Amino acid sequence: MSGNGEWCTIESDPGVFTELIRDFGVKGVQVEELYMLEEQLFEEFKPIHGLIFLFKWVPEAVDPAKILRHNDIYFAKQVIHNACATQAIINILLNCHHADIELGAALAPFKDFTQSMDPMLRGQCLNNSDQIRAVHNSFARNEVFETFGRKTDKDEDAFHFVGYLPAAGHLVELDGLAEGPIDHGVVADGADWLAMAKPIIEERMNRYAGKELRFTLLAVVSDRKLVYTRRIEELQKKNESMPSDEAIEEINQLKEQIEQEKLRDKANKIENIRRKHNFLPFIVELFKVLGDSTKLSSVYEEAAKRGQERERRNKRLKTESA
Amino acid sequence: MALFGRTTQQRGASRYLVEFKAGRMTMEGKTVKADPRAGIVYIIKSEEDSLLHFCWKERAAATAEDDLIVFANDVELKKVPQCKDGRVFVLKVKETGRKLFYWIQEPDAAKDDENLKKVSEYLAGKTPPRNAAGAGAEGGGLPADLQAMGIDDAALQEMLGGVDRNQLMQLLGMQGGGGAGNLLQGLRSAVRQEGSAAAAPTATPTSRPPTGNASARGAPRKTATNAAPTSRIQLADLRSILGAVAPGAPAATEESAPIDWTPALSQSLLLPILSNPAFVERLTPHLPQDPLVPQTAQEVMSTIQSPQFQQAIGAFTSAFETRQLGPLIQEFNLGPQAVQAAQNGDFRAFVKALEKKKEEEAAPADSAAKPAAVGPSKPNNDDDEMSVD
Repeated sequence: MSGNGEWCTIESDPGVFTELIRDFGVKGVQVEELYMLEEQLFEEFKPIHGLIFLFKWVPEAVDPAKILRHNDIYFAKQVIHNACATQAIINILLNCHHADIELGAALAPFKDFTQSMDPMLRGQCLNNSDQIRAVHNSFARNEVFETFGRKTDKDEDAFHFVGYLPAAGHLVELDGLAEGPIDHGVVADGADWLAMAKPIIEERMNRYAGKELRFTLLAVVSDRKLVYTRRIEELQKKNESMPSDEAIEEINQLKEQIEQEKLRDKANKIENIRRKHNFLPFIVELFKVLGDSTKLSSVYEEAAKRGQERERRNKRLKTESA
Repeated sequence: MALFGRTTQQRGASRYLVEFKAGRMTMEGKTVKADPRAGIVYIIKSEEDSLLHFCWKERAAATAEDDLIVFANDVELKKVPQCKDGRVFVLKVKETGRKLFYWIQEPDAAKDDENLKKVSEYLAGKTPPRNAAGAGAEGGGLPADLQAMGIDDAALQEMLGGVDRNQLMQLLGMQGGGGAGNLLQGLRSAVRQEGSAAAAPTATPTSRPPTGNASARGAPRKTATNAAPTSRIQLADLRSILGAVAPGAPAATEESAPIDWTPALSQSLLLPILSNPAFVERLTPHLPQDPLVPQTAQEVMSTIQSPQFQQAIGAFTSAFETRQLGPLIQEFNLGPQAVQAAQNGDFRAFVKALEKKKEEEAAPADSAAKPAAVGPSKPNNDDDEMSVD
């Protein structure tokens, strides 16, 4: 129960994190998954405030000389086992000074309160924050299915999240398990921190590749609707002084994209409603309906066959990568 | 299982109903060995779930190492006469045959019988007289809002059939945030009235969700009000769910591949089924009830194909195959064969049972189940209607 300070595991999904951030009361940001480490993608999502790298955790020593202690970098150590995603996101958000971002009623006071503390104490404060924990835990999967999960689900625990972002003029890596922010060098004036981060993350991916490790790269970006709206206003102004069909076309396209974003927001909300829903009665009724309406046994045989095929495929993949 | 692996935290500051000093004993093969640690056996009515717990903890410890939720007459505590060199009690879980041994560390052997009697009374669902119990057993009266509804003790008894008063009070007192309480919320709607209220009694280690305050909805008071008309079912549910996760449920098909429902539950399979309003109406009540979730065939379709549902059905089948769902299936009125299949963890037999059940229910029902002509299933919901083409 919440009183015992439990943090549940939540799904590593950009939609979940976007909702999570919004539920913290943070305005102006969302989380996007970057399927590739491509500059083109960076362009599309700019401004990008930080990257979150998710990987299967392997113990790694951090060179103490690379730890950068700086008053302008906010860093909280991770003392919570199940909340490394939330932790990584909060570490990034609390380092954001972009005008688009408003920390809101949960995180702004938290930052003020913990500003003068050391990373360990900050981590403990985060752990003890009922408000932040309550939001985090509201993304838990329905407990019925937590209970009945297969053993392999436990693998989730071994995943770890670290953040990359520009802070105090440096490219830093915030790893809640490290002693402090890890310095990846000074971001030169006018240089793009993302261009700097790319080879560093690539190198890391290559290091893990071949060990059957999966990773995910997420980006904390400005709220797309905000970005599109701003662009529309810009185009409208331009169009007033110098009308052009291209501007109007782009405006319409952006309006369409805003609608798409709204649909995505709604889809995320529905997903989360489903995540929390107890589907047991639905499942039983569905089987009854299938039993009454169709050849349930052939549906089952098909499903069992597919399951076996998938299992074989997985096994083959495992032996290939071993 | 994540849910049950956790050691139980200290349950508030409530006092123990009975307690005596005792050490724990562990089974090693066929012999029982005494754990030398100083400990205490106690019975407590948990503040969190309002259920009776039988616990053992190390005397100085804050948390219990053994923690069993007990229902009336599910377990019994007895002296072990074979043990000549000490005083040993055994707690027997009647259904599963599980045994927990404790060696008495009280200096005065003369008190053993008294302690045994007190514990036994609690385990039998009786509440010993307050002073005799040593600690105040709480609250005798019905919740005020039940009384306000004009439901008195006798009426409740009638409504709830065989459930005894203690169990009833446990249920009504149940906190909304408790794991089982929350499970019940979702199940309530689906469980058939005629479901066996006298589900097999069980005792199981405390179950509490890892989900923390995610489930902290529904004030207890409100729960009590809502619970009244369906409490009989709830108790049965509760028991089945607790029973479903009884320890030692053998994993029948550990090696078998997990079933992959995704391609089987395809659009082309579901489309004709969901064009029949009768089937849609059976499923929509079990969709999440939220303004964002329209209660339509389209929504049933997209729900079934959502990763969240796929995950749930995967967990369901795997729980089924590992025989965790036997008692639960019992509550769904699927017939004895389906229940048997669930108890055996045999999904194929389960499927056969469902098909057979339909055959037995014969023609009239069958013709109604044929997909109706394509058309809007709910005229007032035209916009959301699934297009069939």
